[in-house]
Amino acid sequence: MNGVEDPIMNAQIIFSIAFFLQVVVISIVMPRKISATMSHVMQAYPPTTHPRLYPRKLAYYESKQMTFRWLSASIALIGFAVLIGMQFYQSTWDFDDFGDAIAFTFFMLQAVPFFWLDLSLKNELKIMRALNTSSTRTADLNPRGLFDIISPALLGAVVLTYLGLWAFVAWFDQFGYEWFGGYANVAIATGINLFFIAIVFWRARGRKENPHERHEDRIRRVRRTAKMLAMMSIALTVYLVITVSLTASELRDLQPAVKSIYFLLIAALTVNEYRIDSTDFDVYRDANTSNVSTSGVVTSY
Amino acid sequence: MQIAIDVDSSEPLFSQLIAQVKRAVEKGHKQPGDALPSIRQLANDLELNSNTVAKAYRLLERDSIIETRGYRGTFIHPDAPSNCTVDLNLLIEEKIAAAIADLKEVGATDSEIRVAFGKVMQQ
Repeated sequence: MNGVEDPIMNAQIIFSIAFFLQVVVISIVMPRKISATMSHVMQAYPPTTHPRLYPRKLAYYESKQMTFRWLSASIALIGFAVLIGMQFYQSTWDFDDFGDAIAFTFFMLQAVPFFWLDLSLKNELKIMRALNTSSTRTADLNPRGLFDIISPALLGAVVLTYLGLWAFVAWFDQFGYEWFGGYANVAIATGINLFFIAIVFWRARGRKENPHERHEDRIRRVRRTAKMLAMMSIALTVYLVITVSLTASELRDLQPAVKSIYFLLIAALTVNEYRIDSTDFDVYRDANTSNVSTSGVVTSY
Repeated sequence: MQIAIDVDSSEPLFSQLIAQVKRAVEKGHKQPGDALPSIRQLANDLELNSNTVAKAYRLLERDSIIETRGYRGTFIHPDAPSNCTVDLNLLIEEKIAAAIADLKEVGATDSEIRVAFGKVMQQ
């Protein structure tokens, strides 16, 4: 049989391409973008003019940035090694299960530098709070409603997709496939959606993490998080439906590629989390000058 | 519309909050019917105890500066602009001063008034 016409071979080629993209985008492109943002911040808003932004010495942050880059680069190398290994050995394994495991395990590994960076940031904010000597605390006198954080259209789309999953599971359940998890799929989606809701609620209503951050910047950040999680929720539901449909259509071999593309999508959705445009860095200037931004706008009442 | 409080100030925190809300109404930043943040939101944003914000809201509600509409939240009272100008402390002082003047007129001494005032306050 011609290899290109072999469905498993085709699935393996598609997975290899998807996995290659997973490695390149998540472990090379994204870390580079984040590292470039970090460099930009350190150059444009140095400790000499923005001391409140740096609870520790600049060298500490430069070493963190370097560690993040090396960690991501090492994971990319592992990814390429796995990719090469797959070309040699993929005919000898149970492709759909093994491919699935590779895509998932590698994604977890790829997430490590990002989690590490996030934890480091949380630690810095903790120190920033401890060092904050200002006795003035500000707050917005407007309520934060649900639709101040997420657009009604996007929320509607999330709810509709979620209800669609219920309808899909109820419809699919009648065929009596043994492998079909049934309402466990709904339970997974519900659990993850509740987790997302908790994150948004905590970010919107919880304690102010950054003592210097402007109210507008905080709201913008919460909006970005809510939008990202809403898109992730939709993507999860679509992924679950596609996975079940592929299995039922005897196309289970495509699952690893779909999983890899799904992770790629998740990563792409998180990019906005690292945006700093329109963030007011003047709040990190010296205490004597922090009340007035360079644009002349008084930042506190 | 932002408010700011000074945690090192000698003025109590709830009192600063009340003054800030009143000032927002007086300056027109907050109009009758405008919504206010929930107690929890304001307490978290200002890193204060919820009880402090609740106390400020309770006193503002008593003075008809704000009103609570059940689960819908807290809003600026329709009569808030005029009520903001009422100084309750001044009113209390005026009433007590008038009562003391009446008592002195009938011959009561300062110590008798002080003892009687203490007794009444304890009731």
